[in-house]
Amino acid sequence: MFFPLVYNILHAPSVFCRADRSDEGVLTGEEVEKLVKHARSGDEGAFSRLVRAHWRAAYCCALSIVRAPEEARDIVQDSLLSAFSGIEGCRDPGRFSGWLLRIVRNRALNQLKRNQLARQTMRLATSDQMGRGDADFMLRDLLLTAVKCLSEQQTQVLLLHDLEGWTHAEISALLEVSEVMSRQSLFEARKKLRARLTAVTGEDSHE
Amino acid sequence: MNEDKLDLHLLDPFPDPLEFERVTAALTAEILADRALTLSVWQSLYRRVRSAALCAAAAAGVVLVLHNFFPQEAAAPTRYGPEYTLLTWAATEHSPTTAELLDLIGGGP
Repeated sequence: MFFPLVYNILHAPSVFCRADRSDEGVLTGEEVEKLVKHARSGDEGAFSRLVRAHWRAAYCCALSIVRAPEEARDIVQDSLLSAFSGIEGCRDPGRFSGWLLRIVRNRALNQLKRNQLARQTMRLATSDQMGRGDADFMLRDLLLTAVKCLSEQQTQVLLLHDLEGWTHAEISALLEVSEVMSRQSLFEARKKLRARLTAVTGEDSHE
Repeated sequence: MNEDKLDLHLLDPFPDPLEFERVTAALTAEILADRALTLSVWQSLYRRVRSAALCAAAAAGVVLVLHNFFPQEAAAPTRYGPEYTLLTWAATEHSPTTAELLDLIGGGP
């Protein structure tokens, strides 16, 4: 039953890219620094651009830790609200993105520790919903389960590259790792994920 | 490399771009409101502290002026304790009367 659906994940069209990815693009370090300074002086437009530019990256970061989309979304909202409200706390505006992601990461890790029980309950709710036969929901759950075999960095790089359409240069700047490391993480992430998903389709086709 | 790309669009938190716009706009508004509230609290505190500081400075100025115009009277002679009086009596071989002793140690009628 899953095979044709999982096949779509494994053989994505090469042009696949998030639809609105090209609207604003990823901000450079200099642009971020300038926007942070403007935001500190009360420029509302600067806040808006910074929020829009960082929301998805923050989501990828949170999701790579908590592995639950709804929880990741809440963490992003809380972290961004807290970080942007106290933007003066960022000592080096040139490294604002890294500072912001560290806040998101810490919140996600705290949430992960606190909500072990709640997350188990959520999983039970998820399996109930799966019974309803929503193919997309099942596939998303399958993907999330498969993603668990990846490390935090591999997941972040995979999501930023394959979901958000970021380049390795942009990812390496954001995550403060080398481009080689970013490429290596992506390569390993895809390899592991393909193996997992292929195993699922293999099992599925045998049934 | 892009040929190996995985289709992860199911993990996209906002399949609908309009929802992304709505959520980020709402978050930005919340951030701005939060900052405005924090700033107003600080501004209010600043105003109060500034008024208090101005009052304190004015009072200090008045005291300083008064002090300069009306110098303090000469200090009253220091009142020595009973030990000093007893030692003085001992040194001068003074024989205190009962009334003097009672007056000194505070046990008078």
